Amino acid sequence: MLNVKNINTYYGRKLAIKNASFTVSPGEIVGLIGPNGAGKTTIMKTLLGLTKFTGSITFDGQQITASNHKYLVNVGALIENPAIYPFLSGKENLALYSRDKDDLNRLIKRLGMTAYIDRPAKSYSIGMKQKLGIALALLNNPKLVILDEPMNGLDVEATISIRKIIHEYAVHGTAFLISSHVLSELQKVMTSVIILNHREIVMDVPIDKFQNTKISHYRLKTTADDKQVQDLLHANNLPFEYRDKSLIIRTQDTAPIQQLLCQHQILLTELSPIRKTFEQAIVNVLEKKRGAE
Amino acid sequence: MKIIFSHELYKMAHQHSSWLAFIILFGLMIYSAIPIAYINKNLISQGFGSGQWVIIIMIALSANLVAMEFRNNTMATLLYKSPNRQSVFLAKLMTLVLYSLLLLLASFFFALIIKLLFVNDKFSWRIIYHQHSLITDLVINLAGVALYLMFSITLSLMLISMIKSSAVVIVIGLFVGFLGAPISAFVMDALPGLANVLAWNPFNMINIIVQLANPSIHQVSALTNGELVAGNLIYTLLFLLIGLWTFKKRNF
Repeated sequence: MLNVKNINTYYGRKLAIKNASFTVSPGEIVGLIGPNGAGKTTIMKTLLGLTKFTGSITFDGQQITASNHKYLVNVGALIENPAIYPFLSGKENLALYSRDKDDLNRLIKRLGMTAYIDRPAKSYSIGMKQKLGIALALLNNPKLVILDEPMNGLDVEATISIRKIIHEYAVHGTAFLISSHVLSELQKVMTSVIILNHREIVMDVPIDKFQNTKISHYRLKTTADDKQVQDLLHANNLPFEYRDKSLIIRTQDTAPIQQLLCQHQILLTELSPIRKTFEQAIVNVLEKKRGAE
Repeated sequence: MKIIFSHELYKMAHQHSSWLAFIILFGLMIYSAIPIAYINKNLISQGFGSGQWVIIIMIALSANLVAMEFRNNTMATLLYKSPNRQSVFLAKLMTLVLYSLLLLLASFFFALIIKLLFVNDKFSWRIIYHQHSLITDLVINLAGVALYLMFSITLSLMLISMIKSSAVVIVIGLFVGFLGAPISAFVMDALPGLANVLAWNPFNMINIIVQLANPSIHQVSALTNGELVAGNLIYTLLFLLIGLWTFKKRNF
């Protein structure tokens, strides 16, 4: 569906995106992650033909250029802040680009905007404006939706609702490219992740790669007091850490430690795996990349 | 293009400023007519200053029509939803031209009303002024204003495509339109040998709003009516092409 090959984006003479290549398939939810200034918004703008670039962007096999956007008719986007005319009502803002009245009304209802949609947009709160911006991106059942920080300004209820809606659209074949600084939010929706650092893509992998990270340590709790267990481990040269009122042990030591505890008639109350969080995994990737530089 | 143009008209019609401009124009024309004792044929033939007021209003509205897209973060959506950038620029231009002609038409009727209210018994529309009837003078002057409006609108669009700030564009537009003419006259006086060439400078083009009905202005502009019309059209085309090129090339 979306095929990006070797794009370089320039702001004046300054290189803003370096040699980026990736693809997005129907139904895929791709998270675009990177530190501030890494080039997330620039990539999104480039895909929409809003910046000068070299390389190739094709959508459904049709070439997108900075001067020709006609093939973006099936693309919806929310870039930076919601694109809203304050002198129009929410519904008028949507009607401006809507091609299907039923789809428009269904979307208003689905996003829970019925109560205020006829009010002038200038009276909306930040959250209401954000929802309207997302509605604009979802209008006309697009094949690809580009969302730049979609959860900005949304309350918990709205965030959950938007996440569900993204899933619903994805199930029906709509692809998403989403950037967010709230990594946990992205983790809940995306199927693959693109990591950007210093204007270039450093990783483009399925989300499973992060969710199935190797277990390096286990958290251990027992029926005995912690001091007694620590002494026992010391005496048997088994390394450990004491953190948050728990003993942290290495994966390879779980079997001998269980045997040792059993010999001393100490029972386990908790032995739980510790994985790297999604945030830690991302930070590690970025740190490794910085180290390599 | 047709859809984008209809969107532009829709947006224009839904902005309070579009309607407020008609009321402001009427108010400014009345302001020009006061004190009533000073109303003369010249003021009536210039539609109680309607030309200058319409130009000022259009410079501000032209800059705002593009600047509000940056202000509201709608430019990106507008561009990617359009087949190409030129169609967005041209739709805005067409909307402004149509609106300016409506404003000019309104100014004509406002001039009729103000004359009727204030000095109907003192001046007849049929009296001769500058070899035409007063009403013909008014129509010719407004035709000159219409031509200069094309110059002003394309200049504003060109500038706003280069500089995102409407305030800066308005200041430059007003400077070119109103302070430019005396500067142009001063430079031409200072360099009489080059006056024929300097007469084609853009600051001189505003003389079209009075010269078509009043040939004596030729002494100031150093251009014939035909040359002034041609000059305005050439600058309009130049600003349009530069504006289109800038709008097409810039990053949003």
